[in-house]
Amino acid sequence: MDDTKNDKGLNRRDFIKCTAVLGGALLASQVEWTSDLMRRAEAGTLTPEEEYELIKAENTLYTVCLQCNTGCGIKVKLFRKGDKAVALKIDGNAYNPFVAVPHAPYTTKPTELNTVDMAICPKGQGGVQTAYDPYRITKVLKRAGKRGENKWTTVPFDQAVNEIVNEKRNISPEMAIKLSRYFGTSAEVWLNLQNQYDLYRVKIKKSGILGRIKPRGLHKKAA
Amino acid sequence: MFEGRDELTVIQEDIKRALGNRKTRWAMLIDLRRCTACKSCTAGCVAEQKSPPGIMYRPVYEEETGKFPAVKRRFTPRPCQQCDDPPCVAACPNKGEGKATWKSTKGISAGIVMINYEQCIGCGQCVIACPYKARGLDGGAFHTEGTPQIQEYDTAPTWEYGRKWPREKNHLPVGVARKCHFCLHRLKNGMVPMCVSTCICRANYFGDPADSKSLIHRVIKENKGRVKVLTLVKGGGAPMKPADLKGKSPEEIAKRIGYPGSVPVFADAAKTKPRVFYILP
Repeated sequence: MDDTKNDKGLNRRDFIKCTAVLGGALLASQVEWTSDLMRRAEAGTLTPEEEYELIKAENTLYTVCLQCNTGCGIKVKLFRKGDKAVALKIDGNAYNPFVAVPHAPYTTKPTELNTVDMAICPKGQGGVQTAYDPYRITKVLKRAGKRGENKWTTVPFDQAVNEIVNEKRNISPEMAIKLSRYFGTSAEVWLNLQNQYDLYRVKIKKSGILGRIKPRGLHKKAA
Repeated sequence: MFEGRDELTVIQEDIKRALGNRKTRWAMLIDLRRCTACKSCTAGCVAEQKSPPGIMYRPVYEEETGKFPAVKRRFTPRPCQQCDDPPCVAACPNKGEGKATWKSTKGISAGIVMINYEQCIGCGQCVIACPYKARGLDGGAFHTEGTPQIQEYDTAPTWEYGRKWPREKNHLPVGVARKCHFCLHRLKNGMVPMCVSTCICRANYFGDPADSKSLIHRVIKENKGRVKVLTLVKGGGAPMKPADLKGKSPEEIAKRIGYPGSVPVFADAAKTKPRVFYILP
């Protein structure tokens, strides 16, 4: 019965709304709201409004938590709204031995595990709040005047990375830490890159002077 | 681990088997010897149910007894006790099956004290009637309110009672009574309730205690004599009379009664006949 209503684009809720507006006496006979819902859930005739959308296998991302250094397996449940998606919930990944003992065999299909949630700590679940932190730093300050003038402009991360790669700016320790936060690497990687590049430039530029420096005898013997 | 398998896997099998049984009545068992007060259940529940700031379906109480160095700590998670004789339903002016609130005895929801958000008038009578401080009125606030932008995860819907409830200003369930419902929408899909599935210590058992094959039945049997129920939850606040409710905001009511409580009182049996059992440390 409900199916035919849905086909006509009128679900039960709308139906009840209409009857209420028309002053219909139908409201008086309060439909057995829950039992009715359960019956249709069993029969698989739920409207999209009633469907539990967080268990869709295609909207689940299996990955690793980096909220601490343990690296537990997590599943991120996405909620799709048009062409956009927002991560709503983080749960334990049943494939991962850190959160499920014993873990599900790797041959298990994701469509079989969409209703299997395993345990994950509150810090891991807070990943949603970390990702969507309104105070998260997503832009970089760039010096707009001379050094020490305290004049700045705000540029996007991509532009900052571009300028550095194209040799317009050096990577400062501060920038290295920001980049490490953004890319999830260590800050040393970025400083090492800058160091190597600086040494290479000096070697080329000062090759004349370098050629005239004679290494100490100790080294000569060893060589 | 239970017989070489993860407790959660066993519990999920129990739930799937219980869904096929018409006589199933849900119950929860919480082993306080295992709880570490990580509050994963509280966090998971808030995220799953989109409960606003101030509303917690399942807080974890922390108590400390004794003097140093002989100090003992006890952690008590407190979901709704889903009483068989619920004082909250008795206090409701619009009670009855399909109306604002009722004790479900049949179908998938059997054993759960249900709320129909569309029928609840948000009077707050049940909030002050519950001896466990398990009910609270939704004030309609957002977690990211007062920040540069209200985030999308905050306005996303919840699927409580098997229906989609977008979280917007003046949209249900804002303004009505909210409480734990054993994650009915997850049970319906053969899933473990959020607080049980997210417990890193496996301190929770869930299922039908009447089913002799179920894990909850076996654990209750093994710990006979140690299984207790809650009779009361004390808090910082004072009891309220229905007449005091007039003109009070949800936040004011919660503050007055000391929601969500802090000191649990255990006994062998309770007048309200709760369906949540505890194994004390």
